[in-house]
Amino acid sequence: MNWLRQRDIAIIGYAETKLTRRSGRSVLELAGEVLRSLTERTGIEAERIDGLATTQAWSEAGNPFYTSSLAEGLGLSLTWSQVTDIGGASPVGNVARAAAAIRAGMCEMVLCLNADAVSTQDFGRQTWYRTEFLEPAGFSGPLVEFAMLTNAYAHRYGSPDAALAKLAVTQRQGALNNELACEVLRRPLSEQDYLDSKFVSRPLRLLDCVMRCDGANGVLVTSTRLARELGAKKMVHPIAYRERVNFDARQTVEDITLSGFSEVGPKVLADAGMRARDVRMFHPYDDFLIVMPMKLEHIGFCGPGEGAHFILEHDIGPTGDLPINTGGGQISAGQPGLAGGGVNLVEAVRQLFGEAGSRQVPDARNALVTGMGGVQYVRNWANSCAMILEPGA
Amino acid sequence: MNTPARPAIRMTGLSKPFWDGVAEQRLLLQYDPVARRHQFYPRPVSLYGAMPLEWREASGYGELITFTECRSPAKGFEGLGPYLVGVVHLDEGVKFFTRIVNATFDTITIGQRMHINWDPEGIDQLCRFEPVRD
Repeated sequence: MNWLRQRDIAIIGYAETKLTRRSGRSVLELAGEVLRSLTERTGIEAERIDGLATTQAWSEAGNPFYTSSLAEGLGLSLTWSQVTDIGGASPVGNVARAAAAIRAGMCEMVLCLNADAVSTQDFGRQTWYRTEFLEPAGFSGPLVEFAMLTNAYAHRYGSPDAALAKLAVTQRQGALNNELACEVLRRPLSEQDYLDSKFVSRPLRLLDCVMRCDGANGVLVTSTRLARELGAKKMVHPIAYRERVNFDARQTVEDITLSGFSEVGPKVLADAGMRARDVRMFHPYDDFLIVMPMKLEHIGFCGPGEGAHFILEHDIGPTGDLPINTGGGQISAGQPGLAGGGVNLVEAVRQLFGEAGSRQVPDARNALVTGMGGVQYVRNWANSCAMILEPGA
Repeated sequence: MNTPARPAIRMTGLSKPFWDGVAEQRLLLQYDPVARRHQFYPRPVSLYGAMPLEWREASGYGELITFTECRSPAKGFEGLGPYLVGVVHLDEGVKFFTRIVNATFDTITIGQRMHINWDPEGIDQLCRFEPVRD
């Protein structure tokens, strides 16, 4: 049952700030820039916004009144608000939550806001299995987890290095064409530069990993009916969405490189009546390069262990047969903390609006965007979500 | 036994039997007698549905399913230089994250048999694992 098949929900605008390392700016300042940009671009007055869905922010962690503080700071009065804490799956997940709230009649016009100034300040605090059973055994963060996944993947299927090098270079080219990407990352990169970058947790290299930065992004979500009434010039419909929080809770999957995408990927495609080869462009959440061959396999673009080969065999640039993360992704644009998933989402919407400039994908007829978040105890990332977007009229 | 460098563990009531076991150099796992399955880390419920859970001592043997050489140390391990951590699939059927000792990145392999290793006077608050020597 695909509850989004009627195309009755519309994204009518997107906005994104420049990504900056240690900007010194606050979440509220970044959020204000997104709101201002959205109202200017769409002509929708802030007064009309009655819903707010946001991600958490490392830089504001510990504020138990987060959405109401944001509403207060931005001058919004709401009938529905929501903060979503499934990590990098939250920005895409919030579009679905906004759609459900609009459908339920709780609100009409939702600001899906993602803002974090994590490289300026980080008040995040880990608890439970992370502090009691991982850190005392030498676990120093997600890069250890993704290094272990990379090693397990390489042992099972062979080294993915050549494909990861191609991804690193292609996405870097996207960042060179994206004036909102972090300036420190807007330098040309060769495959050899990737292969020569230092090991941070062997076999994981520095250039396998995202760099944290500050930034914000957001989309405006409403009903297609209201979008038309208000004369929206452009819109994009979410036509299918699937999410899995805490994949494999009972720990019956032996292969730790398998993820929730093995479930949500095939389902989201089936919901949309599509096969993987019908996907025009792919905007996968990319905190580490290794997740991309894994996702290609789990979603069904290719078989198990064929992800690296798939990347090498296909043209993944903007004019290619399967463009991937055309704006540089988070790997080459920067990861604005918990707002990171919005980097991939907003790039997909920008492409579907036909506003990607020098990196525009021709015939941008649909996009698959994913989010992922959380690190399980010695399995994989906890949360996976996938959405298919299509331009509307 | 704690050295000042070691950060305090934020232990929960439900994991107390585990840490009491560690103090005696015994690796204790929760066990669901109905599903006949072990689980780790300690949880308030069985992942497999039955209550109550028992505690059982693990054999201390397992198979290495992945590992990495960590070069940005966790708190308390700063003085070590690069060190190995990994996941051991214990013979009891649970995955266990551990520091790996008496091995190097280039000599150890996935699939290797592993055995528990204790060093109560050292920097580790948990057990470690090492390769089983033929």
